[in-house]
Amino acid sequence: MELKDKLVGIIGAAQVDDSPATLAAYSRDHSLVDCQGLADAVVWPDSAEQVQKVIQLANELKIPVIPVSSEQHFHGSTLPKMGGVIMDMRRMNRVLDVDLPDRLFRIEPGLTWAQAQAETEKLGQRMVMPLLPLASGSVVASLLEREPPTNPRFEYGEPMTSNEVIWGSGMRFRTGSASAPGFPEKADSKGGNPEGPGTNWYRFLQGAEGTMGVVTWSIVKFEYLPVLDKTYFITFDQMAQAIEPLYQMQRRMIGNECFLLNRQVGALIFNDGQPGGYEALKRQLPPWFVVMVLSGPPRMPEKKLAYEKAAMDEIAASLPQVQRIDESLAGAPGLERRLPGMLRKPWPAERAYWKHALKGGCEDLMCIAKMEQAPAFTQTVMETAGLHGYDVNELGVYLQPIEQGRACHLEFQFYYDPADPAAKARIKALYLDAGQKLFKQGAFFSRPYTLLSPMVYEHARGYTNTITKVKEVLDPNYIMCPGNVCF
Amino acid sequence: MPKVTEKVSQAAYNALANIVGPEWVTDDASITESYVKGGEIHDCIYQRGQQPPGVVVMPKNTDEVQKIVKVCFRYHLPYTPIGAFWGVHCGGKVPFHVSIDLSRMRGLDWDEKHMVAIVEPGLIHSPLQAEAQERGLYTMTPGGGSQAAVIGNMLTCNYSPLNYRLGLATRRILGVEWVLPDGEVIRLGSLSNSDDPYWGEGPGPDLRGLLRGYLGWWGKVGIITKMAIKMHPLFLPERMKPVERGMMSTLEFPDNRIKWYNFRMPSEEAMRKAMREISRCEIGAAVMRVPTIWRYRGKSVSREDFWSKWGPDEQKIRDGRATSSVCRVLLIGYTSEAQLKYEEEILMEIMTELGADLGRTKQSDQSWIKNADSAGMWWPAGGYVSVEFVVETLEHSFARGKTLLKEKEAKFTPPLVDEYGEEGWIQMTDMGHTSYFEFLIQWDPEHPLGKYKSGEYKAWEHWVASQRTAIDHGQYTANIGSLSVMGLTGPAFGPNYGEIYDKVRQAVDPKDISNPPLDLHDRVIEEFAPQWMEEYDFKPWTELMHGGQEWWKVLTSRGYKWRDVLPEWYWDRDDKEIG
Repeated sequence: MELKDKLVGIIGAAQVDDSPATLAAYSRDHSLVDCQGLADAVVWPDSAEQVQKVIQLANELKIPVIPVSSEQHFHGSTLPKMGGVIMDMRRMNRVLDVDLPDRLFRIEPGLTWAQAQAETEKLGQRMVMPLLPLASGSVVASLLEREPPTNPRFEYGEPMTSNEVIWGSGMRFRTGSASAPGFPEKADSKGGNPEGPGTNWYRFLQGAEGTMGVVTWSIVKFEYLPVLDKTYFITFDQMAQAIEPLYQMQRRMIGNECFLLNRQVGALIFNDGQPGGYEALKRQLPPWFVVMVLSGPPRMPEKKLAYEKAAMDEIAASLPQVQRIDESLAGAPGLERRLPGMLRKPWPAERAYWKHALKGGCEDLMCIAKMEQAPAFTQTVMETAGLHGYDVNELGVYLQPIEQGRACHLEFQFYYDPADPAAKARIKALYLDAGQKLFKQGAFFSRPYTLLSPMVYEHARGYTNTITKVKEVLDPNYIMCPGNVCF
Repeated sequence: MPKVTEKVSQAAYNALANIVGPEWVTDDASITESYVKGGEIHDCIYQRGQQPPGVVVMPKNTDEVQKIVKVCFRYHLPYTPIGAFWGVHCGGKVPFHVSIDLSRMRGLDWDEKHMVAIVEPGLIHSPLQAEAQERGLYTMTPGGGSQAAVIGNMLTCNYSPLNYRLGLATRRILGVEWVLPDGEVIRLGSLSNSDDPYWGEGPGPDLRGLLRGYLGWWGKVGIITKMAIKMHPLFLPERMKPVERGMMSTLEFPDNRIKWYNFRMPSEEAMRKAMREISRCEIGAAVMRVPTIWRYRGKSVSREDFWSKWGPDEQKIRDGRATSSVCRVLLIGYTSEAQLKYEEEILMEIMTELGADLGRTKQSDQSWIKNADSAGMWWPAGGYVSVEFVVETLEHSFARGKTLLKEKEAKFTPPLVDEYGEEGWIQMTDMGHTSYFEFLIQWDPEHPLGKYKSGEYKAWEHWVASQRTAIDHGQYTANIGSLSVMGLTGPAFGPNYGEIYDKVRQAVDPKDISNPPLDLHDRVIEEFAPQWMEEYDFKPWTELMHGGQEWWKVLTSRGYKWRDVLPEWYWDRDDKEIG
């Protein structure tokens, strides 16, 4: 019996496809990774049982399984580098349970940011999300990939608690407190604790790019929707000037959403989509600006905003580089009112994704750094960009403070035309060169993805050996996403 | 019955001495015998399962730890890493093991700007907290107290009411340096590509998952020789000053940035609503329900003092028969004085709506920022064990409390001290998403009336029974992993977490030398209370586990049986009340 017949036996003919057009579509993404091969088939399971059976079959046949849960992909992690079965999880996009008192819901991996935002809005709640993700992006995949939220306020805990996973071995397993017998129907546990049982299995799923198993549901947190918001902007001529104010504001636990953008990123995300809008903003926006959203909970929200604003003023008065705290952003009238709502929703589905709006393609070079390192790292990337003939005026820079400013997510965006092979090759060379230089400077690539993986994992040899031991328990035949991470 | 007193071979001893120098290694029984008892749980199963080491060795740095572990690996010697020896769970359980005493490694380094402390395994919480405050930072001192080793505690528990705002301990673990059981040194997080440990996860799949679960491995996956810990910005211009001494020492609060409130709630429903509403309003630094007996313990300076206070009030408490109605709230002005005023205004509004009465309380901290009273809190009755201490959701906390109270009163009281309807400690964690629950039982081996004397065995059985009720009710429990009866929990949770848990352990420790065995409790039950396997419906883990018995093969190859490794005094007890 051929592979396709066996898959049809598990999932049904309508949910298995091995047509050349479909396979070709799954061999491309928005990354710079060249995928030479094709998958053998694409399947669309609808249940954990089906996922488990496909993985068991793959173990029997020793063929790869590549789970995908978003419509579009950016890092090469979902490409069938060694063939195998693409397991598209987008039919599994349900909200299985809502636990409103504990602000948790159990969701399937195909649930998108747009769906999650709509569901929580109905409940008078909100998602805490990364900077304007794709509406069609998977919430579970985003959290597994540790994409940083724009709101550092909620980093005291894990955004994702328990999971159900089919390990690469075919074992069906629940992590965290959802591991309690009888969960969910016959258990007092609500799955609120991510830890255990025994060891912290959920950590092996994070940053794993699908190499350990397939998550079939996750319990994810949502937060209360503030009743009052006020947005402030602090503008700077140079990135370095913004760093100390960010340290101080974060250290005093002021505000909710807070981040630093350069003019390029600002122009892409704040333009109104009308012709000339981007160009106009590019001319008018300040070179760098901090966005700070103060928010108030249901009782006495004005008083909360007042004490937080007073603390901001106190910091501003003590720092000469802060000339003023603005209630609006030059060049973007009305943005201050739109912004809180905008940051709590994914990018509008009807508009071209902001990262792709300029030239059709965008490659993100991102690392974890200390905020004080960011200006030097940015200088390195700018110089490298110049050496590779990239217009530094089109370099996007986004700095996201993390954990009260203890560290930051630093993201550089290179825009290019993906239909132009020469441009793509130039960006790839630039990306690798800049990545290597940042690595030597001390930047930490916590999720290096395909192109930077060899450099990072070769350097961390002991780490790589040990995570491989874990992999051999959870996926002994190495069927999950071969070619990703260090496997 | 025989007691195994075999020492390590001369060759192994010499190898250890060559690493650390002869003054830092010994097999003198007067010293090795002192490595049997930790300072935590008085007279209970963890302690009974301990063995004196064959040799004690004290390395001064990672290089020496690595070399010692390689010697252990070469000679197939089980070893037990010891930080402050606070927890008897960590004591060696097998004969001729090597105690690797890490107390010479007390290094403490700082990256103040990025709120990172880099600590070595011998460092305890007290100097960490004191130095942190000098640098405008603070951390959460855990229930174990200021005398607990920082790394040991971060790897095992590290729970306190401050988890409400500071989150789970595992999230505070940053870069880590780790000597694996085969002697390989690995570095996690940003340490994997630099000497700066400020970031913990990755690269890629996060190996911090192997450091611990809800609880830790108790030394079964190697030795952490360096750990960076996320600290928090101190909300005061200068450190709080301690007053009084010893277990009564406290930190006095300034009146403008940190404040306790005790409310008497009119009903359990009002208690729940208060906890929820405080979280919904995103205020507070800690929110908890404090059991009545904990307050007696907190006010006692000795065992005699405890009984002198609890005894006369026992009649009153019995007649009242109810769980505590005291909701205790800590507010902190993290941002400014104005924040404290704002949060106080909201708190008072909530409590007024719920009909709560504000009581008096001392404006100082004895337990969570500077934890000086942990010994006082746990020892007054003489015997103690936390049957449960688990994080789940608020309703789970209430449900688990009712389940355990019912079980305790039906089967185990007396000899366990009767608390007359008390359903345990409950606090909010993770800004109200979750809740911590603790059910603490006590007995007194030397109680003058003898009423609670034989509590140890009933406590042990209650602890085993609690794992059964967790399974039956679908409740989460702290008693999972090596701190559980593996035959009970191993198949039930996950399900079958025990299978992959043990396989992962074997992969990391192929010779089974890092603080074995995994299944101590199963083995002791098989020997002493086999009837529990039928009563609580489980099979011995030895029948279920998949390999991982390398050390036991060595033991049996030398002609020993499992029962031979139990301490001599285990067999000499005059009471036979187990089960």
